[in-house]
Amino acid sequence: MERRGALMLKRLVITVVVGAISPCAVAAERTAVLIVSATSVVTSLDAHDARLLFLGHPVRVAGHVLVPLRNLSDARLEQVFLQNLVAMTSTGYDRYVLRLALQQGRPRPREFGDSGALLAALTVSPLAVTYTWDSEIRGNPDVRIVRVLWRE
Amino acid sequence: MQRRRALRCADRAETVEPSKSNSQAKLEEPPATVKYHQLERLIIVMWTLAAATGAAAGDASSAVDAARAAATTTTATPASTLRHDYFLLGSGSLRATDGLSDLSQQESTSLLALDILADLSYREIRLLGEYVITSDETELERLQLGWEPNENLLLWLGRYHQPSSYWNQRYHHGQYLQTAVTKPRIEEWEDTRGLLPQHMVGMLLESTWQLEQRGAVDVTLGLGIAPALGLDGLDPYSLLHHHDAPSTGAYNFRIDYRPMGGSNGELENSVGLLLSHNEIELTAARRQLSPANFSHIDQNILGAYVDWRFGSWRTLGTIYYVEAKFDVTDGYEPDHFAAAYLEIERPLGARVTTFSRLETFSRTNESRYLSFFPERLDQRLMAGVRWDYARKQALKLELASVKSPNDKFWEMRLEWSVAVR
Repeated sequence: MERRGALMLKRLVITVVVGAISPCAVAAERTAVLIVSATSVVTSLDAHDARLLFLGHPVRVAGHVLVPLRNLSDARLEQVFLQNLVAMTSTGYDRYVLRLALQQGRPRPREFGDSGALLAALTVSPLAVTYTWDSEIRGNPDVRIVRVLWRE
Repeated sequence: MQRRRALRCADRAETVEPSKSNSQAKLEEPPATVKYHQLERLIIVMWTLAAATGAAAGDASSAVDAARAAATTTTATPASTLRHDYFLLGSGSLRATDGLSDLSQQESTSLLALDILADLSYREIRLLGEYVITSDETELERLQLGWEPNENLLLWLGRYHQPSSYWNQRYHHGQYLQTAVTKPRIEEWEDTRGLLPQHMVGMLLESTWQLEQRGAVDVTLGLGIAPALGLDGLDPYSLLHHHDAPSTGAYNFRIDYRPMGGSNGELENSVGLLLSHNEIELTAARRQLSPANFSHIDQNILGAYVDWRFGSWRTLGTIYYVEAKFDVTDGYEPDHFAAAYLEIERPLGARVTTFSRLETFSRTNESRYLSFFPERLDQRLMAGVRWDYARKQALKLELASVKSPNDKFWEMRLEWSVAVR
């Protein structure tokens, strides 16, 4: 009886420990990536150009102006975008892209609240660039990672 | 990979209507002006509808995302890219003052404003329009057709904001975009009794020279038709209805240096020189109702500005020296004055920003040119706070002490501003 109780206690401890560790393990694998369509002309994008692109400045590859798509589907990803890609506060970023549009008539980055719609828009445009969690696109042959933005 | 054209102030042009406050001038206003106003409204409404319709139709994504992205639609292939965007900047403000002079009473105690901006771009071609509706007026502010052969060159034709005002190039009519409620008096638009020409019709050239590892130099040159001097101040040329004075030249130039370095410094810090030459004629109404001993004014403006961040502090200042030569029968009668302002901003956290600005004029009473503007001021000191309480919405409170040639008063302003889309 005592042995059975000890066994149950052991199982409980293991369950609790595994349960506690699992989210950390998942979180540790979380990576934000910059992606393009598999048919895109873009093969790589340095941090400077990626920042300019999402700030609304024209960035060209092979003579074509790239099109930024903003991913608003995940609040944590939005934080990563602001801190690691454009290096601005949310208010500062909004005012910046609005000002540029007001000054030079440059279209602002298009915004998506749904990741499925975002990926659909990305895959049909060889000039589009966006960002997402790598887990969202793992095994997806229609997109290509051009840069790792952040790793948790 | 090629890259970067940095930010520069493009331009914007404000619309000006024929003299409004003088009753006699109103009587002389041609009836066709009404049609022009209707045409203006029609253009902007059609443009806005086209942008919205195209956005909804061109988006293959969900309805939710179509709504989110309605303002910015892209049809992109490597061969061609058609993009369009539009957004609205709205504001509502209240003002209280204890002053009694023209300067203190020139504005309404409340003001509602809506700034509508729409743009289209296809390959190297751009089209940019801006329309402003306020509780006092409606105007087509800018309409520009642009050609951008590469990232470092952009040529515009149409109505634009003259480039030698850094403040106006940076904020245009966007109340939400500027930190404070008010703009410096010297930067006011003509239809709010501005002192200097701001809106031109003609050509605007924007170019950038990249300096390896050291930043960039921007050069902006405007060649256009100058405003005329009417009974209510400066009267700019418009695409659809224009003043009746002879068309004379305006040449405006700005050169900026933007150093590279810092997280935002490369994009946000700049210093520059400002040069303008404006040939200002008199409108028929002014010639008829207020005869003067001069035929026109040759105005030369030399200025410099700095917009710099030191840690979390931002300083934005400009100084102008304005020379006005009145063409009298036996030569030129010289005149001059100077104006300067310095604004300091300091964020307190992510959503709150404090700011303060001092602006001052020289020869306010002696300058003949300034005498045409009863709302001139000697000095204004203001301070305020901005609260970005929600995404793309802000509340601002501003207190100011103002000294004019014949009055000294306080004023308080409260403003709500928003960017939609």
